Amino acid sequence: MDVKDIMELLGEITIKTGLPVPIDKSKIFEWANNFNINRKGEIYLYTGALYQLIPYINYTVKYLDSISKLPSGDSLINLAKIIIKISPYYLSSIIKPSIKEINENNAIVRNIAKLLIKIDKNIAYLYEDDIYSGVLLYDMGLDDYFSIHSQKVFKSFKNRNVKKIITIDPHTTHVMREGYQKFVDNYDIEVINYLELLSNTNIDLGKLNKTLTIHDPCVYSRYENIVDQPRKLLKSMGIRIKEPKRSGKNTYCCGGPLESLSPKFSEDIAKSRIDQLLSQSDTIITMCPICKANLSRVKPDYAKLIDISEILTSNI
Amino acid sequence: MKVNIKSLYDEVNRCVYCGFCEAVCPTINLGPHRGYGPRGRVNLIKDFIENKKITTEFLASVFSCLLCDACLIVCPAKIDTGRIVRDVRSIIRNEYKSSINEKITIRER
Amino acid sequence: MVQKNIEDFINEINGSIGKNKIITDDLILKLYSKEPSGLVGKISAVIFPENKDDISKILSSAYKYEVNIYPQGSSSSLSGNAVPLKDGVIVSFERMNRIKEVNTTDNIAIVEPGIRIDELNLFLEKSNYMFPIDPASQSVATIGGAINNGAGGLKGAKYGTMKDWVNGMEIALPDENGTRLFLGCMTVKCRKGYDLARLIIGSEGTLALVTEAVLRITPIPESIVTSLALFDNLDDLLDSFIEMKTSGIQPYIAEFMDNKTVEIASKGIDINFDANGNMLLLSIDTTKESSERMKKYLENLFKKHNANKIITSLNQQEAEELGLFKIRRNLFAAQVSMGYSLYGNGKKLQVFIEDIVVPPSKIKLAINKVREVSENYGLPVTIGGHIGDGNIHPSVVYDITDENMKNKVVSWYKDVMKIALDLNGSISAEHGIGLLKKDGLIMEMNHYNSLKEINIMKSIKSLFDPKGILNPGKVL
Ligand SMILES: Cc1cc2nc3c(=O)[nH]c(=O)nc-3n(C[C@H](O)[C@H](O)[C@H](O)COP(=O)(O)OP(=O)(O)OC[C@H]3O[C@@H](n4cnc5c(N)ncnc54)[C@H](O)[C@@H]3O)c2cc1C
Ligand code: SF4
Ligand code: SF4
Repeated sequence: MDVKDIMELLGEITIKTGLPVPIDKSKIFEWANNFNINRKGEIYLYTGALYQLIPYINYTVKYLDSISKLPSGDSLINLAKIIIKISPYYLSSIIKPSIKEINENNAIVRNIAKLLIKIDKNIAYLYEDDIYSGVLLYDMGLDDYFSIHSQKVFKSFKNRNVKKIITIDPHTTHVMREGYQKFVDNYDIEVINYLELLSNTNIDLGKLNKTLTIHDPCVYSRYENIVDQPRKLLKSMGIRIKEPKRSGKNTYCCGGPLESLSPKFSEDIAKSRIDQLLSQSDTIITMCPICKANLSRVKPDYAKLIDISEILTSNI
Repeated sequence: MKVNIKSLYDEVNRCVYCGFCEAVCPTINLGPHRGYGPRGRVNLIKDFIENKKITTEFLASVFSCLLCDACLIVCPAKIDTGRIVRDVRSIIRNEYKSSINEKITIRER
Repeated sequence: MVQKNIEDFINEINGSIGKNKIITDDLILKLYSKEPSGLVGKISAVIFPENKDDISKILSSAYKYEVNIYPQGSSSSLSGNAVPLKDGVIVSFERMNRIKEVNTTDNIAIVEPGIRIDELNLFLEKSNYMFPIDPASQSVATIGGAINNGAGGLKGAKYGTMKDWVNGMEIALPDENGTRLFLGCMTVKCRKGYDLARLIIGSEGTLALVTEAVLRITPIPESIVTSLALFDNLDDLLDSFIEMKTSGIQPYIAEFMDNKTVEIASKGIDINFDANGNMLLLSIDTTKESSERMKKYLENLFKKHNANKIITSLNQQEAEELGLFKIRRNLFAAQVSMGYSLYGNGKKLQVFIEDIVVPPSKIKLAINKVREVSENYGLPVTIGGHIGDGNIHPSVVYDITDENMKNKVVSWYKDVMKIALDLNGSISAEHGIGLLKKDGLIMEMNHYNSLKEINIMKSIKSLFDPKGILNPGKVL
């Protein structure tokens, strides 16, 4: 599929709906149904919606890729572009990712929230203001769209008097620090990542007798310098950590960032990475929704991919 | 925010063409040429800033990058290809959008 | 404008090998026409053969249309070896990077030319074997490039250079059919008339294209003791090295860096010791039982020669933990960054790496002489090298827009080569002649009263490549 088309669709949808895929906004905070977390506080959990969105994004990408391969592909994509300009939600009925995947990712967010509440029960959640960060726009250099979107997000923070946010994935963490700093005037939100936060506490996570292989996300290790924090937390539980040849600062990408632009590249890179990881042990820890989704597409049945939050909450 | 082309240029201009970065790049062996690796990206971008010319393969090079920055860690000149590529995508969109007639496609070998 | 013959050639191979193996995109052509030496050329296409037949077809058409062929591995050469001079096409071996066979009983690996040395070693490591030629550029250098440059590396004192580790190879000739020949043997011992395999090693792509290589491999030593010693006085360092060599110990790795270079290279890396003075990095392969003894020997030796610091590890893992190799690995980065600290950001700088070799007994004289000459020129020169085999790399960083400095560097370059010759050495140990050392080669032949060698070489060249289309303008 043409990279230009993908970028155009992504930009238009994000500006029109606030999300990179045309879905109902309540899907973002449905994880918090029946979960006791304050609406108001000093520090806010800001998920940036990435964990929640990944199943929808990946489904949409696959869908668009498959229609672009039809004989009438180009005109169908053009049609999609027109529909999005008129009413993006019109497309929402065709985006139906697996419920299982959605539930899994919602559970990850809930686990992270559990950890946060455990260290500080006053940490609050943004609910309907937990909007998408726009990181995909930023990475693609769609700065015109990103500039509009990031200012919208910042305004909604200001309306709610948010000063400090806790992020939960590498991409959102990075864009809220570097991207927003560059594009939003007077940006003054303090951004702390939940792994940084937890590793600075004496949180007692109990013990777990397990050997696990760690997969560092590129953006944590090389952009945000988050390498030791997850290790410290895992070690505090008595977990034996296996390091693949490429780990920490030298980690190897999961291939995820190319998922929408070149599914083939993305898959090949994921295959190389999963082999490197599985040479250490059968269970792999991920810390990013994009890594998890992309590696799980190529993983053999016997292998297990677990988000770090699931491990950290195993005794809670 | 507008990308600062001068500082971008100073950074790519530091490249000594050693290729150390290619050894760690996940995309280099998948694409049809060196442009799918960091040494290629950096030098194509340098050429692009100097001559303000884009080609299909140049675009493929810029859009096939993962922004993973594995290359930065091993680069003797400390060139941050991931961040540079992001900025160049933005320049292309702002200034060259109308001159891209063909599809941008990431090609396999 | 593409010349007519090149256009016809490209059309023909388009049909014979397939068009997805040919690239003519302007910017990509410029990208491939460069080298770390800073030299830049110009070409009409880059061709990516995927197998031996492709190579023969390319050569046969190139012969027919008289099109210049510039072979390339990773183009990490430093003397202009891989840069296209006149119009023609680059043949890049990057898609021919398979390991075809590894046999630990026969101690061989059969590989395609485009495989990178590091990749090969990563694979061999699984069987506890290695290919011991490890240029500092091993992460990029391909086997084809290393063969054609006659490359050497850190382990040179013990393992020599490429010429010692290639049993045989398949080549393709620039003739009517792109004829393929198997030179040398599968085995180490081989008396197949004249040793043509050795002739190809170091020929810099001017005689034939290497399509496959039979490499010797060797087990990774059981145990390696490494010592990093720093000396205030350079003579002390060199004396300790000479004493060790004289006492019959053959180092596994023997690397040297002078104090200025150490100062720059130890900045910005995380080592938990102060590095002041001239550095000697020595590794010796031992058995587990004897490693303690070797450690003591090295420590005593360096102490005797007034080392200001000695850090020793009993095995590779400990060496990594102590960060003993970090300064050495940062050498090239240091040379680059030194330039920016000297001339400021935003300049176009060139790192120029010399490559002389002298008999190890003369290394002390050579280094002192090079220092003297460099000081006279007032050039910022760093000196490091593979001291174990007498190969040193004085290097200079300069601003290429500064004509005055450029002239100085050219003159310095000649003087350094002259130092090597005066000490019974040679002007190039491992980087090759390429373009930059053609004058140096004549200088050397003259020095040894051996000018006729050039004529013999020219005759050999025309036997292999009658139309002179392979990497023209290089070496001779
Ligand atoms: C920072 C740095 C450090 C270095 N350190 C060392 C060192 O320690 N020791 C050392 O020896 N070198 C060193 N080099 C030089 C160089 O990297 C090596 O000589 C390397 O082996 C070249 O490999 P390559 O694949 O890049 O070959 P290229 O540069 O692409 O080619 C080298 C030559 O071989 C020819 N060639 C390539 N492949 C083929 C083929 N299949 N058939 C026929 N001809 C072919 C080319 O035309 C050219 O003449 C260093 C370079 C750099 C930038
Ligand atoms: S950032 Fe881009 S060029 Fe650098 S290693 Fe990753 S994919 Fe390759
Ligand atoms: S490692 Fe750095 S200096 Fe070397 S080629 Fe890559 S980008 Fe250029």
